[in-house]
Formats: sequence, structure tokens, C-alpha cells
Amino acid sequence: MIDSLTIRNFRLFDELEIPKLGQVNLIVGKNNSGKSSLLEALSIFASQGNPATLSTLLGQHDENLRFDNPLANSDIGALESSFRHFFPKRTFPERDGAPIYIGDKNKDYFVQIEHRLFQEAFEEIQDEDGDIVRRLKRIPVEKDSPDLFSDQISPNQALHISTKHRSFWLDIDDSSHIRRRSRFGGGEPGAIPYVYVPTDFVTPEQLAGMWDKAALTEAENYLLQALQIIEEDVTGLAFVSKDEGALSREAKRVAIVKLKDEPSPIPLAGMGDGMTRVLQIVLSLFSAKGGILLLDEFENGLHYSVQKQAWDLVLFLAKELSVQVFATTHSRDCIEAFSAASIEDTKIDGMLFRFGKSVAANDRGRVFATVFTEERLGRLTEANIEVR
Amino acid sequence: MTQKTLLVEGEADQIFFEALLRTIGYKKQEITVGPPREYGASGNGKGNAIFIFEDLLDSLNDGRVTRLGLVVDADSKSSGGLGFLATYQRIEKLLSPRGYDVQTPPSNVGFDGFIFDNRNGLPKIGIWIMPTNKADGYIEDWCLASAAAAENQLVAQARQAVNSINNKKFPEHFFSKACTSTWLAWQRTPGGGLGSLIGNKLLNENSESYKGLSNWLRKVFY
Repeated sequence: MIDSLTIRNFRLFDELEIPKLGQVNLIVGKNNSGKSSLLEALSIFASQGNPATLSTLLGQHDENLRFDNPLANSDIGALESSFRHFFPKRTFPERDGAPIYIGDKNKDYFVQIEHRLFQEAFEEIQDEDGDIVRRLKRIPVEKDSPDLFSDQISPNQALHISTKHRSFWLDIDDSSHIRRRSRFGGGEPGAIPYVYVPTDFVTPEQLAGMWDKAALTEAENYLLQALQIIEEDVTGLAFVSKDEGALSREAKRVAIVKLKDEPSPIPLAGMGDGMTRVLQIVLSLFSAKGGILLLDEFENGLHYSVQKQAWDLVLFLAKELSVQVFATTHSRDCIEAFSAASIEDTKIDGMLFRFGKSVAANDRGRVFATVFTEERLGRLTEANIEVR
Repeated sequence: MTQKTLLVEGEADQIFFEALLRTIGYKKQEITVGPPREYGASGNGKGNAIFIFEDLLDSLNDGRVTRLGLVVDADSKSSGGLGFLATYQRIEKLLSPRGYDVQTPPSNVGFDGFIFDNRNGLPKIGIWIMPTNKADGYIEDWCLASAAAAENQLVAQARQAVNSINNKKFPEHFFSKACTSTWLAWQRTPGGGLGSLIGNKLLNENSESYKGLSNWLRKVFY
């Protein structure tokens, strides 16, 4: 579990400090206030700077597309790279010493991403047999080095990523490497399993893939329970091959549900977005077991009348499966449902964070989070006070 | 909810301050005057007001609240209340970590009221601890001290009447509350609240206490 969060120099966060996180956290704020950026920062943190995760995040906003060359006018030899979007003002910093930092200071656990100039040089080392071998090594060059003004050197750029466990260079030239897309984290040393649930609905194929991991496990019971939040007559769920005709190479699989008084099953897709959304959320919780679940716009597809039950189930499963949940919302109903559910559930701490921009003269415009414990949140929603 | 907020202890104070703000030139609802319950506290009173004050202080950061004042009673230390100094210290504990220049021990501001500047450039905060910002007591003490000259005789009689009761039900530190209630009981419409002191012009607008409180409000809600 992540106890606290410090984010520096990432997207629109100059310096964000959240001293205490809950096991289930709801994030609110106006458009472009940093809600989604927080989920991204958490993905990077959980994946421990995994390059595939970084690429995936850029791909989600089409930031991997190239339009311009922002460093063209700078003194540093410019290099187009979509990675600049992660930095404040969507530009690589002009000076060293302003890395992206995402960390949990209570656990001395962090990811640091620094844009650096470097030169390559051979170094000689002794191998196990005592032979001298030469290998290419990257040597950082300071961005304010006077050497840069001479023609003596022409440094390259890369990201230097450090975590508690290791540090490595990541090339940033968009053409230089193949990017994998991944919504599931892992791989890096010290990585925490995490699942990112985007605002859009997953495809039937993705759902089927997640279902395969959950089928015949305890997850099956909860899935049924989740679907019953939306439609109480559901008695069964299965994924079946869909006949795409003889020309189709792979059979597509779709979810079907059995209703109490219906003789034959009905396609899930025909039962509204709510069904797909709860299925997606619950399957994701199981995939994130022991790790973190990032849910963008919790309320998507969920009618306000079912949100309390949806939160009840999420809180229960978060506890059962040891998942730390971070969800964003725009909806007042969602906040109220969350508040009621987290107060009722005494086993789990719910927290709400509202992103806002500082009006203080000394740090005007800085994004910060106002923290609402479930107790404070309950008090305010009870008094009908808007916390969005 | 407007962004200029005056937090008070209860409904009677709310009506009193709404009337006072109108009298000194603010438009209706230009400033939200509210007791803690309106901001989600389980009850009213000083403890709840200070509790809610913390929420409102946090709302200054992103401009949801743009001006903030707090009026509470000092209460009586000898009768188990916080008293002036401890009340001040409770509030100071909330203000100091948020960058407000709060003096310890408190400066002797008297009827100027407390105005604290913020080092980070947030709006000033106004604190008024009834009745005098230095002694124990209640808003009723302030009212008695601010009575109009034409009311002096009635106030004196009210004091006398309260004094003359044998076996008083109320404790001694509520003497000023009993006097004010008695005074209000003998008006054209008997038994009005504190707000009627303003509406019926029973206060001396040139008294040090009245002028002080009015000027303090103007400084907080500039």
C-alpha cells in the first residue's frame, strides 16, 4: 500500500504533496486540474518507471503523435520526443536538477525521471577472466556546460530513470525503439501490480481475456453479485464464441447472461453500459490483487441509483483482495455514494482529494490537493455542501 | 454560498451579524454569516465553530472562500470554559501552521479586533473574541457595553432586577446573558433576539465597542 505521495515536475504538478493516502481514494477537481495526471503518476510509480508503461501513457492522449519540434530554438541540440509531454509545460527542462519525481516518502520508494544530455565513451574494464574489455558507456554532460558552446562535443539526449532498486537510460528518440502498449504493469524490480481502467469501456475481447483469469475462482461469485447490482434477475454469466462467419480467422467471444425468467441467455452488450462497467471494475479488482487499481471516471455508465452498491462492492473487494484503489469522478452522486459507503464500511479508510489551484500570491496557480477524510466528507455531504 | 464568510457560534449571532453588516453598508447576502451547523457540524457553539473554521481555512487556498472572519465568545475560565487566552490559543494553533502571523502572547488589540496577515499571500483572517478581545465573557457583555444612551436606565433596571432574584437558576457567569434577556424582554415587542438590538437601534453607534466591531468587519471584508 502506498502511504503518502510526493510528485514533482510531472505534467501540471510542480510540487504536490499528499501526506496520507487511504486504501480507497476518490479524486475530484475541475477539468484539467490533474486528476488523470495523478493516475498516470501512480502508474509510473507502480511500474517503477517501466518504459512500456511510459509509452502506453503517451499513447492514451495521442501524445505519441508528432507535430512540432519544441526544442528547435534552444541551444541544446533539439530532438523531437513525445516524452517531453511528461514534463511541465510539455518541454524538457532547460537545466539539470529538475527531474520528475514520484515517491512515497514514508517508504523511501520512488521513481525519478531525468532528461539528460550525455556523450558516449569507451571504458575499459576487467572481465571475470582478468581480460581487459572495452565497452561503451554513457557519460552525462551538464546542460549548462561551457563545452556545449564549442563544436567539440555533440551530446545525445535520453531519459535517465532511477528507482530504489536500479537506474537505467531510456532512449527518447521516437523512431529508435518499438513501443509496446500495456495496461498491466509489472516487470521492473520492485514493481507493484496495477491495473488502469480507462474512461472508455473495454472491448468484449479484453473482458473475455480478464474473465479467463477469473473463471472458476472465487471471482465468479462476485461477478454475479456485481451484475445483480444492475439487474437483480441475473443468474449466470458466460463467455461464448460469436459466429463471425466462415471467413473470420478467430472466433470473437462475447459475454452472455442468463436471466431468471428468460428461457435463453441474452448478450451482455444489449443490457446497457452499466453491466459492462461493473464487470470491468470487478474483473480489474481481481487482476490488481495485492496491488493498485486506477479507475478513471468511476461513474461512467453507472446510474446514480446503483453507485452506492457499486462502491459497497469495490470497498469490500479492495479489503478482501488487498487492493489500493484510486478513482476519479466528476459526479456529485458518485461522491455521495462513496461517502456513504466508506462511512458504513468500518474496515476500510476512504479518502477524498480535491485538486485545486492555489490563489496564494506566493504560489499562485500551483496545483494542490485538499484532503477530506471519510468523516469530514460525510459531514459536508450531509450538510449538502458541494465538495467537487 | 458566497465566498465571503463570517463564521459565528449560533443562529442568534447569525441574525445579529447579518443585521449589523446591513447597517454598516453591506448588501444583503454579500457576506455569508453562518453557524457551524450550516457548514456540516453536528451542532453549534464555539467548539463546533473552531472545528468548522479549519475546513473554511482550507477553502481559502483555492479561492472557494475569499474572505474569512470568526466571532466566538471567550466564555468564562472560572466556570470551566476556555476563557480568552485558551480560546485564542486554540485558534492560533490552526492559523500559525498555515502561514498567518499570529502573535503569542496575544497583542492587546481590544476593540480593534484581531486581523492576521498571511505570509504566503492568502487573504487576511479576522478573529473577534467576544466581548473585548482580551477578557473572558460573552457577546451579551459586548451588547450591554454598547447600549444606546436612551437605554441606559432600562439596562440599569434590568441589572438590578437580575441581581435581586433569590436562588438564581443560572450560574453567576451567565449574569450578562440574564441581563441582556431581561433588557430585551422589556422592549416594545418583548423577548426579541440579539438582532433586534440592531433593528430597533438600541445600541450606541458611537460607542468604542460598536465602532470597533464595525471597523473590524470592514477590515475583514474589504
